[in-house]
Amino acid sequence: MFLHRYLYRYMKRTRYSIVFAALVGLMFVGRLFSQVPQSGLPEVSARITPDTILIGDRFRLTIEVSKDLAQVVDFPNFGEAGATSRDTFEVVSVSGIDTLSRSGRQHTISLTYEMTCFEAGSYNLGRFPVLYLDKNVMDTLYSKEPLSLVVRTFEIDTTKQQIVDIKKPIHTPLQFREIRNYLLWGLLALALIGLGIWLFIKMKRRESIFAPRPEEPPHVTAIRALEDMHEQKLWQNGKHKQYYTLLTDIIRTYLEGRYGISAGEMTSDEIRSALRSAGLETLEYDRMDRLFSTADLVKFAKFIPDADENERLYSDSYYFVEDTKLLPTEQVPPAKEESELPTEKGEEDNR
Amino acid sequence: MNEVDIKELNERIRQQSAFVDLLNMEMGKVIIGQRHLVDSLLIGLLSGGHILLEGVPGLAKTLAITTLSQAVDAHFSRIQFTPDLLPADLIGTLIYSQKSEEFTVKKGPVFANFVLADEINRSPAKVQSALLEAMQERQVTIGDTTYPLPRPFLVLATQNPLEQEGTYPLPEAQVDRFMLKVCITYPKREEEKQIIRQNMQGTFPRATKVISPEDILKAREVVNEVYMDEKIERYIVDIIFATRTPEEYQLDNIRSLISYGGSPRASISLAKASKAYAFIKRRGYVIPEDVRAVAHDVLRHRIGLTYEAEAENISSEDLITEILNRVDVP
Repeated sequence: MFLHRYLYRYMKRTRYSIVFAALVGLMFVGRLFSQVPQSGLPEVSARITPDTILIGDRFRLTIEVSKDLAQVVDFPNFGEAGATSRDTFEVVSVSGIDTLSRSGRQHTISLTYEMTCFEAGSYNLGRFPVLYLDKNVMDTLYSKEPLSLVVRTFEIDTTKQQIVDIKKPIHTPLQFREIRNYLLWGLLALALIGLGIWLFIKMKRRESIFAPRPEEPPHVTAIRALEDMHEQKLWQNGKHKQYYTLLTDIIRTYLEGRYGISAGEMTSDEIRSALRSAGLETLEYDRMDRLFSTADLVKFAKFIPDADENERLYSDSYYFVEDTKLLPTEQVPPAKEESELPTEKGEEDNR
Repeated sequence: MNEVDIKELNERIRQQSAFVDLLNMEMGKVIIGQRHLVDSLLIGLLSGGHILLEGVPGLAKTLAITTLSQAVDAHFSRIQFTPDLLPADLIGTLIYSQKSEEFTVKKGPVFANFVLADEINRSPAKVQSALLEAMQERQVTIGDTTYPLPRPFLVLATQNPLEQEGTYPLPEAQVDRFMLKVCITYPKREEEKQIIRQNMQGTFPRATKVISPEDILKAREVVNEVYMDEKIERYIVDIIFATRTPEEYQLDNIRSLISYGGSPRASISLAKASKAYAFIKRRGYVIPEDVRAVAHDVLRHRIGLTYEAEAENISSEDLITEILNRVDVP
């Protein structure tokens, strides 16, 4: 029956299910007449090496077929390598079909199955089938001799065995790669904890996390911006509106930094009155008055001043910044008692 | 438009706006102080927008309008809004004449150049609606006939901010139809002294006609020509958007105080009023100062306050100031 099951699986795989019934019949007939030598039919032989194995060992089942070149045979399929073909047997690997010998039109081919077994016992494997096809003939041929396999197991004499304790783990020397990951994660955790503590301390002291860049005096920013703007040659290219917008923006930013006036959000009139309140000298005030008046006309009334006017207002702005800039000595808080004032020597030292 | 155009426009506006000084002078003869009120009346007159006046009684609201109508030589009517006032009392009605055996039209006081709707919030909604409809459509339908209102047509409605009992506050949608909401404050000490002296003299000064309604209509056309740069338009849009989405203008602190911002009508009114203000200042172009000068009057009644703002005693005035101080000036 073992062979019948193989055959059935084989038939299923080769999709000859339509003639399955006929084949089963043929198989029985084949069995009846298999002992009778038939001239012209392929000869099938099978062998197992070794035929006695220790449990779990591997053995090789080799099926050889001697046949005419024109004859077609198909070896049995016990399943994929690695799959258990029977409850007790497992196919480990299947070799490719190998040609062993060739003489004229006659040649011998073989297929080897490497198998294993994990159950002790004596097994009668029977004869192995090969499907034979020749023109209109389809038949199953069997190996001549039935095969058997003995699977032995270990013989343990329990009377002589001593009960021993479980072996302790083997101590191997510690290697860096084993602790490398722990070390890295540990260092990262330490770094994060350190950063957290540092931030906490900084926040508690209300200090800035990043060291503030020394603030640039407003006149430095303004002069640089004015020079950059001048290099752009805006009014020379007909961009009067852009020129005056940029010019007033620079001055507005400067006024914010220099006098603390929110000039960015102020109208020209508001800036004028704020400058008046800031106690600007008449010359400086007039410069700004001219600038904002002309800028308003250019920005909002499409007025195009002449080149002289453009340059004059640029110079006015430049010298306004230069003349009103805060000198370093002016930045020192003036409110000091006379006794606290540095002496002449002290001043010299400071210098 | 080039340099010559703007010069020409400036010159034309300087000529056309000459009456402004005369008008101011005539009004100044009668009204002491209240410069802002007079300017607002002129803005409304020149831009064709109606004005809602809010102030305690006795601040010369009626006198200012009467004087303006005298100076313009226009027809003036005053309607005292009361709870029993009917729409027909306002717009007019059809009266059956037994003599001619037909209905004749009796036009109401709304048929005037200047209409003073005194204490508009004293009348129920149907009367308010009748007036507001006339304001919007500038025409009135009596019976089957539609009558256009005289031009210029300017409604000045007053509200008393103190007494709120038994009043019918104007809904937001109707308040929005007023171009400006002007809050009138008490005169200064010196002005008050002059008012006393003026009233003690026995003869009260009277404004003389310095301009005709037709001149006003011509002036309106010139006001429309006042040049408004794209930068100013953007500035106006920024202000209006700041009332709607303050957080986009770094005004997160007032987000929770505004329930609704200015409508597109607010943008239109702000632009028109800015042009009129520039005209009054005898300029042919609008500058940011003009926008800021009228922003409070245009937006005051167009910003909805939340309960939070009311609880904090924050007015729309404060919010507008905050917005104007934050939005970048071009």
